[in-house]
Amino acid sequence: MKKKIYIIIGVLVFLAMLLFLLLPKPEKALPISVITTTPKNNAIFVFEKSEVLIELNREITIEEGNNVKIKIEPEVKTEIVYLSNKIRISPETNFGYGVRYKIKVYSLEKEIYSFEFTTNPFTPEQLEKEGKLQAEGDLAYNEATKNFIEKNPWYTNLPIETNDYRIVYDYDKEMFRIRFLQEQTDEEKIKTIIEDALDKLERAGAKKPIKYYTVQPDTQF
Amino acid sequence: MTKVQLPETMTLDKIEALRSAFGWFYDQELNKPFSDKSTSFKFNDVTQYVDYLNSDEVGIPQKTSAKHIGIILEQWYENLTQTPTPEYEQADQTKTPQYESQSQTTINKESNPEAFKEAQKREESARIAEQKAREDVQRGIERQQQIYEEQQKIREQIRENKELKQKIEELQEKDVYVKVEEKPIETDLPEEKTKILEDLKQAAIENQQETTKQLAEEIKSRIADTTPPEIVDSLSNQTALYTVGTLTGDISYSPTIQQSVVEELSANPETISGILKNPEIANQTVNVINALSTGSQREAYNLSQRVLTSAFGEDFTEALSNQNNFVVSVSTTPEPEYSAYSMSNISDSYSQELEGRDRILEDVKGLAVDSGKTRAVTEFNKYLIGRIDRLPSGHFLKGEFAQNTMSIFGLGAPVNWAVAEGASPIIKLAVSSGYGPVLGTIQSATGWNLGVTKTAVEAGKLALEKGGAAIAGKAAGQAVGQAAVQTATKTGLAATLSTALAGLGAWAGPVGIAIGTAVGTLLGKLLEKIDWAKVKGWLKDNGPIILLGGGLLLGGPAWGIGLGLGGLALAGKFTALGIARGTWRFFRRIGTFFLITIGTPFIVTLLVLPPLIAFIMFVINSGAYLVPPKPVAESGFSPGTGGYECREDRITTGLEYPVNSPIAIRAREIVDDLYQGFWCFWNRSPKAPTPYFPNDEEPNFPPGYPDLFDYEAFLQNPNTTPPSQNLFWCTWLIQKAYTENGVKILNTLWSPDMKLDFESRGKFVPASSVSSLNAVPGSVIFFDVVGNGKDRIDHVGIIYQTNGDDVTYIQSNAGLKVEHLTLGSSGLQGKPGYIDVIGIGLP
Repeated sequence: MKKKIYIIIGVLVFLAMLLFLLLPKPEKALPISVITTTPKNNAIFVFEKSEVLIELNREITIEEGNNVKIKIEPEVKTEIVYLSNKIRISPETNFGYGVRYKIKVYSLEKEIYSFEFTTNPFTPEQLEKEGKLQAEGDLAYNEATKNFIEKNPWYTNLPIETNDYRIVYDYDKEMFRIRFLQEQTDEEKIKTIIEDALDKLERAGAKKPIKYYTVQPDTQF
Repeated sequence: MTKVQLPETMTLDKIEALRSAFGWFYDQELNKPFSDKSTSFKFNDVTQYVDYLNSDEVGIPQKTSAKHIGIILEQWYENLTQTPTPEYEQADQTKTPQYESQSQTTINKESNPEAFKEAQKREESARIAEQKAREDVQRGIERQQQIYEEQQKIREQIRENKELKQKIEELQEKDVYVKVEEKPIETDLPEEKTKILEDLKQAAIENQQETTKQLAEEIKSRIADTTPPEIVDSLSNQTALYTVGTLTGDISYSPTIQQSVVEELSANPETISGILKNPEIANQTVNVINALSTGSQREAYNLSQRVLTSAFGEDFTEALSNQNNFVVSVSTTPEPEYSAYSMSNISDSYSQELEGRDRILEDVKGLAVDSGKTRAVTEFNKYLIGRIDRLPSGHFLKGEFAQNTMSIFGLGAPVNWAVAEGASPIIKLAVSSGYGPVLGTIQSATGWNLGVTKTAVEAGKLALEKGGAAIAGKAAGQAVGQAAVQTATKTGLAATLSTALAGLGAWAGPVGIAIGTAVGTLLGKLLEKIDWAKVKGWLKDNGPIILLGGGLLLGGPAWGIGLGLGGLALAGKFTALGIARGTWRFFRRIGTFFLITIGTPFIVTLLVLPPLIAFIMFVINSGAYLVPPKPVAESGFSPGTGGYECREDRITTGLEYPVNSPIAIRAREIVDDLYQGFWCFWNRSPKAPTPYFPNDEEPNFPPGYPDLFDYEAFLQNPNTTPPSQNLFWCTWLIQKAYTENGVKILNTLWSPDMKLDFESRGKFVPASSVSSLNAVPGSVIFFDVVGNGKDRIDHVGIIYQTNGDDVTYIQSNAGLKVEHLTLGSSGLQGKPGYIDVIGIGLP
C-alpha cells in the first residue's frame, strides 16, 4: 500500500515537474526606460501651452503605471495621462514664461530619466504688442524692397561672381563695381572679362548704357 | 458628500434668503449684517449665519465646508423649484445620428387634449425642420465637394500652363506683328439679331470702352434671373470684354483672334524660326503653342460663350465667333498696318482665363455654402424656438431676462446677420473646440437632448471621411473621430484633447466639437462639485460683461455693445467706467473662468445663446470643412503688400556651409525651413504635415517653432492688416539663433529695442564704420525704411558671410530669404532712397 502511495506521489511530482517545464513561462518584463521626450532635453522657447510627452521603451500596465512617478521642478500642477507606452503631462493652466523646468521620471521609486527644457520667455501681451509693431516694420521693409527691385531689377541677381570677376553695385558711386579676382594686366583679357561682365549685367536686368568701374584684387574701392 | 434632507419647515422664500445670505457673506462681507424683509432673517455676521444653518431648524451639520453649504442650499432650491434633474447622454458612435425630441413637460392626452395636440404638432414641425436643415447642409456639402474637385482640375491646368510657359520662356520677350482685317459679318441670323450684331459692331468700333460697359449691362439684365447675383457682374463683364474685342478685331481681348494668330504661327513653323534662333527650341515652341492654344480656345469659350448663349441665344454666339469674320496675317518684322503683339500674351491670356475661372468657382463655392447656411439657419431657428416653447414654465429660458435677451438677439437674427456679413467670427466661434464643452454642459445641465453628441461625432466623421480623404482616409477618419471621443469621455481630461486636435489640424474644428461635447457631458456630471456661490459672486461683477464679450464674439461691435449695454443697464451699472472695467475684467478672466466654472448652470444661463448659435453654425459649417484649407500658393489671394511670388514649397537659401559662426549657421537652418505665410513672406515655421498645409515637410533642422504661427488668422485672411497675428518675425530669428547658441540678448521682439540692447552692451557698430573686417557672420543688421514716417529701426537680418565687396544676409518675415548689401567707401551701403542700413550688432 505504502509502495502504491509512493508511486502515486512520485507520478504526481513527475507530472508537476513536467507541467512546470512545459508550461510557458511569463517573460520577464523589460525594465522601463525612456526612449524619447517632447520637448527634447535642453530645448528652449518651448511653447507655454505645450504638453510634455515621454515615450517609453514598451507599453506599461496600469499596475506599472502606478509605480511610475513624475516630478517636475519647479513644481507645477499637471494632469498626467498614461497611454500605452506614452506618458503625457499637461499643465493645468500653462507652463510659466521663460522658466527652466526639470522633469524626473521615477519607476519603483528609482529615478530612471531626467530632462530639462526652458519655456518661451515672451508673454502673450508682449507677443501681441511688440509683434504688431515689428510686423508693421517688416511690412514697411518689404514694401520698400519691392519698390526698390521694381526700379532696379538687377538687384536680386547680384552679386555676380565667376572665376575671373565679381560684380556688385556701388551705391555711392552709382555704378557697378567689377572686381577682378586675379590680377589682370593683359588688355585683351580685361576687355573680354568686361564684355562678359556687361553681357551678364544686361541679362540680369541692367539697362544700357551700363556704368561700371573695375578694381584689381585686394584693392579698396 | 452626505446628502442633507430638506427640512419640512423650509420654504422657498427661506431658501432664497439663505442663498442670498450665502452670496452676501461669500463676497467677503463677512462682518456686514445681512437682512431679508420677506423672511425676517437677520444675521449680524457670518458666524451667526452659520450657527443658524447648523441649528436643528435647518440641520446642516457643523464643520460643513462653505462650498458644501452652497451646494446643499442649491440642491434644496432645486428641489423646491422642481428644476428637472439633468440627464446625461453617453456618446454613441455606432448609430446614425438622430434628433430626438425630449419633452420637458408632461402633457396627458386625456386630461389636456388641446395641449397634447399642440405639442404633437410642434414635435412634428421640429422634426421636419431638423430634417430639412440636415438635408440642406448635406446638399451644401456635396455641392461644395463637386466644386472643389472642379477647382482642383483647373488648378492642375494652371500648373501645367506654368510649365508650358517656362518651356517657351525665350518666346515671352518676342513680338510678332499682326494685322486683323475685318469682313462683313456672315450670318444666318434672323434680321432682328443681325441688326443687333451689326449695331453692336459699329458701336464697338466707335467707342470700345463704352460699348463694353453697355453690353455688360445688357448681358447682366438678360442673365440676372438665372445667375447667382454674386457672380453675375464678373461673368457679364468678362463676356462683354471678349465680345467687343472680337467685334473690333482687338487681339488683346479676343480669344478668337488670338487663336487665329496661333494657328497662323503653327501652320508656318518658319515664322517661329524667324524669331527664334535655335531650331530645336523653335520646333518645341510650335508644339507648346499648339498645346496652349488648344487650352486657350477651349477655356476661353467655356465661359464667355456660354454666357453669351444664355443672353442672346446659340445662333448669335456662333455668328459672333465665326472666324471668317476677319482675316489674320502674321509677320515677324514690323510692317505698315501691322501692330506688335507680344507672344507672352498667348500664354498669359490662357493663364488669366484659368485664374478667372478659378475665382468664379471660388465665388460659387461660397455661394453654395451660404445659401445652405441661410436655409439651415431659418429651419434651425424654428426648431430652437419650438424647443424653448416646450420647456416648463419655470425654466430659466422662459424667464423675463432670458426672453428679453432672446428678443434682442431675435434668436437667429445675429446668425443671419453674420452670414450676410461673412460670418467669420461666428465660424471661428463655431469651429472652436473651446465651445464644445459648453455645448455638452448645456446638454447635461438643461436635460435637453440637442443631439449634439451624436451629431458632432457624426459630422466630425463625415468631414474627415469626405474632405479629409486625401489626408487621413476614411478608416482613419472614423478611427480618429471615435477614438478621440472615447478617450475624452473616459478620461475627461481636457489635456488629452489638445494633442488630438493638434494632430487633426484644420479638422480639429468639427472633431473638436465632438470631443469637447463629450468632455462637457462629463463636466456636467461634476456640477455638484462646483462652488456655485463663488461663481455667483463672480457673475455679480461680470455677468453683463459676459454678454458684452459674447456679443462681441458673435456679432461684432454692434451686437456686442448693444447686448452688453442692455446687460449693464439691467445690472444698474450703466457707466462708461463700468463698461471699461467690466470689459477688461471679462477678457482678463475669461481664460481661467472657463477652466474653473464652465459647468455651472449660471454660466449656461448667460451663455446659452452663443453656444446654441455656435452649435447651429457648427452643423452648418461642417460642410465648410470638407474642402481642405488651401496651401499658400493656391489660396487665390493676390500677394498683398510685398508682391512677392507666392509658392507652397520651401526654397532653401542656397547658401553653403563654410562659415565659422554657429549663430549664422543656425539662422540659415531656421530660414531654410521656413515656408511662406502671411503676405507670402517667409514667416511660417512648419509643423508638418498638417491639414492646413498637407504638402509641408518636417523641419530639416528641428525644432521649427511651429507654435508661433497663427493658422486660424492666416486661413481667414492671409494678407491681414493690421498685422497683429503671430508669425516668425525678423526679430524672432535673431532671438532663436542667438539664444540657442547661448548668447543672451534682450528679451524683445521689437527691433528698435534690440538695437538699444546692442548699443548698451557696446556691441553696436554704425554703418559708416562697417567693413569686411568687422562685419562678422552672425552680426545683426539694423535697417530703417526711408520715408515711412518712422525714424527708427524697422527690420533686422543676420550676416551670413562677407567678402571684400558684398555682405550676404538672411532674414525671416521677408519676401526674400537672402539679400545682399555692398561694402563701399562709406561703409555698409543700404538701398538709397528706400532702406538705410543704420549699423550692425556684433554677436
